[in-house]
Amino acid sequence: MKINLNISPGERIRAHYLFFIIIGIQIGVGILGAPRYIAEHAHQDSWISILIAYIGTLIITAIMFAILSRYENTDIFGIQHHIFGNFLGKFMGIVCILFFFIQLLTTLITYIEVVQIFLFPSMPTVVMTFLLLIPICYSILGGLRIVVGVVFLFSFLSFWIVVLIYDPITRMDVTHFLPMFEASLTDLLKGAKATTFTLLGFNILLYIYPFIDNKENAKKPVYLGLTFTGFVLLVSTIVSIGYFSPNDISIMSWPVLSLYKSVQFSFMERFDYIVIVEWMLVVLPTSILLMWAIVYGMERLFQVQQKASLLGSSILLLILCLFITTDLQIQKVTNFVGDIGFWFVFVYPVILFPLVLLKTKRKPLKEVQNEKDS
Amino acid sequence: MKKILKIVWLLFISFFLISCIQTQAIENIGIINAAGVDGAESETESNLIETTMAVFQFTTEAEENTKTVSGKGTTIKGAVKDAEMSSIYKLVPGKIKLMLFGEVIAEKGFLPFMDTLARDPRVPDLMYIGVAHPNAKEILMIEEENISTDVGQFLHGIIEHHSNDHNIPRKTLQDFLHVYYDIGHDNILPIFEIVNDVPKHSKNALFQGDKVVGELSQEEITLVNMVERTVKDQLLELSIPMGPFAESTEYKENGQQVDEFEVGLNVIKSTSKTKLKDINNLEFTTDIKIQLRLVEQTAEVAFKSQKSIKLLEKEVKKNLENHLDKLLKKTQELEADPFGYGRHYRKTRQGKDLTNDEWREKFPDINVKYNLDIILVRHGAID
Repeated sequence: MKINLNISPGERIRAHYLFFIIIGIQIGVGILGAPRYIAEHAHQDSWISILIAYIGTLIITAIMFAILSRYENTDIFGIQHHIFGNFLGKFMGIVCILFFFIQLLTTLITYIEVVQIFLFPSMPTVVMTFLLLIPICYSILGGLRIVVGVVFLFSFLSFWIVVLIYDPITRMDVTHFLPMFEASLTDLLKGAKATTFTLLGFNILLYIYPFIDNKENAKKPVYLGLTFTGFVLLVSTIVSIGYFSPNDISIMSWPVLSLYKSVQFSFMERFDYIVIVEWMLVVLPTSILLMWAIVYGMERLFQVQQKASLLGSSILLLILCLFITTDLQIQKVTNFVGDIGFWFVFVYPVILFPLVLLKTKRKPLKEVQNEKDS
Repeated sequence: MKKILKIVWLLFISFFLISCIQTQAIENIGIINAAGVDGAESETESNLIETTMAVFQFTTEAEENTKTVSGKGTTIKGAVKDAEMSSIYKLVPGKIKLMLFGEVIAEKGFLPFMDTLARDPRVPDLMYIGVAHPNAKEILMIEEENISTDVGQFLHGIIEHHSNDHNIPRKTLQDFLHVYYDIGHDNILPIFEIVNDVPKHSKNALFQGDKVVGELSQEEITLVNMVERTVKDQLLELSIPMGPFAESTEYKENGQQVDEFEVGLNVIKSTSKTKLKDINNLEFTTDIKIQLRLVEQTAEVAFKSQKSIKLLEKEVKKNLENHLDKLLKKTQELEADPFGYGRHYRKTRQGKDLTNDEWREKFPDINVKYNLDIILVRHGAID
């Protein structure tokens, strides 16, 4: 397996698209319920937890960039292969792909659950999954450039929803945030950990990095994207806590969606319905990017054809959707992804970094760059 | 050609997938506009509830746009289902504008009936809720000729119209739940009853948690509002003793000598600030700054000099402070805190673990010092 990749210029993407890729994969279904889980631990000081988590993502991303800069042009699979060797490297690659797969599954079933609860209670999950898979597969088959194009377009089409929460903002109760700085450090850290499920996905950087055309400009859009996600999460949590009573928020499944239930215009009485449908444009980029990572990983590790792995994972998703039906099961899978994701996305790069340093120090950097097959 | 075939195939699938969704043609659904929930009064069927709904119907044959139906069941949804049996429509809750709860339920506690409203996402959050006296059915079954519109629109109109000038507590479902879940704050809801065959918003219900414990008049609501938030464009009616004004009074030739006279004052703007002065003795101060405009008086007092205006300001201040003290006593006896003093207690470091039960014990012992700053800005087109 090649460690470093040669990507033809036609397949490359410009660095500034990383901004949209990061927010596209990060902002998904997680944010709908995030304020509740954060507030469960950190209560009125949830905003501090989010700031901690945001700084955490910045540090992890800096580490990822540091890891990537030790190599010429590679991705996580190449790095793992280089560090752990053939067998263990492939095993870790499978773990990466499996994790993305579970994340994709969670994203889809959570969104479908929202639609079933709010719009179509009797709509079968399989039908919805099938419908969502059509645009996902379509964009994947078009290649990375189409994927990035879809992510870019959909981000623009869904930004405006954020503006609508001005209405709940005007009715916020400031006393919900007092007294400040009451949560203990452990509570704050627990609250920060609860954001994991929402902030997951920025490790896509380790997969998409070889495709970036102008790598010297890659850092800025990534950090900006992380900042944007952090900001959206911060605003929605603050508004949720201010608008709903802290005791009320603890029994709500999707506080952010409930915020939109209070938005009303004379021409449109129930804006939450629009938001739920519109949310598909938020969920699709996440799903498409995750699916791309799965398909790309399969090709890189086992030289499986894109179409084959796409079909395989789609069928697997459809089958799994049949088994995960109750909201408690969905909750369990979500918690599982959150827990594993914390170790996988936040802790794993930190462990990997010294290993990469050691390995690249022993062998001169150039040798690694020129190493073709090992 | 191949591409076109692909698209046709996709369209074909999408076309048939539409049937996966439940269809709801507007001619076949009844849109609930206002709903009322009543508890059974007899002991034997104490868990039975009755819902009454004013429903929009969109068939050409129907003469009237709205129709009132009612049904009984042990849950609200069950009662709606029962009501559907007497209607050719499927009743949908997506546009409920007003929900009334009968007195029996209001005294037992609201919350069990609020559950479905919060749980079912189809029910809008922005509907108004109110208490019906003696029961909701009577109010919603009112003859339409008496009010010249349908009753749901009518009641919603009353709340909407009056709440715009903060006359009455405008409580949407969301507002109610917000205050209910807040610690150290109790709800006020409007009470509707039938006066001269027309539903009227006559007084207001004071809640303790989700139970009604007392009633407040419109004047008292104004005072609560002035303590709790900024009030604009609001009428105050006060009785002022005649004594101090004797010098500056010009009676009409046939004017009667009176001890007290009535003034109508319009609150241009009032702002308030509440502080917890001493947490151990539960001492609060509330500073209210009120800008007033004289709109009516019954004694022909001429406000020519600064002195008489200052006098009026002083009397208004005395009068309002008196009323506020009385109101506080009244609510303290009922152990319900509509002002939200508990919120000021809870936001301190010492009181952060406050529970509602604790506040109910503490609230009767709190002392509030009201500092009113009255400014009579205008006295109208005559002196």
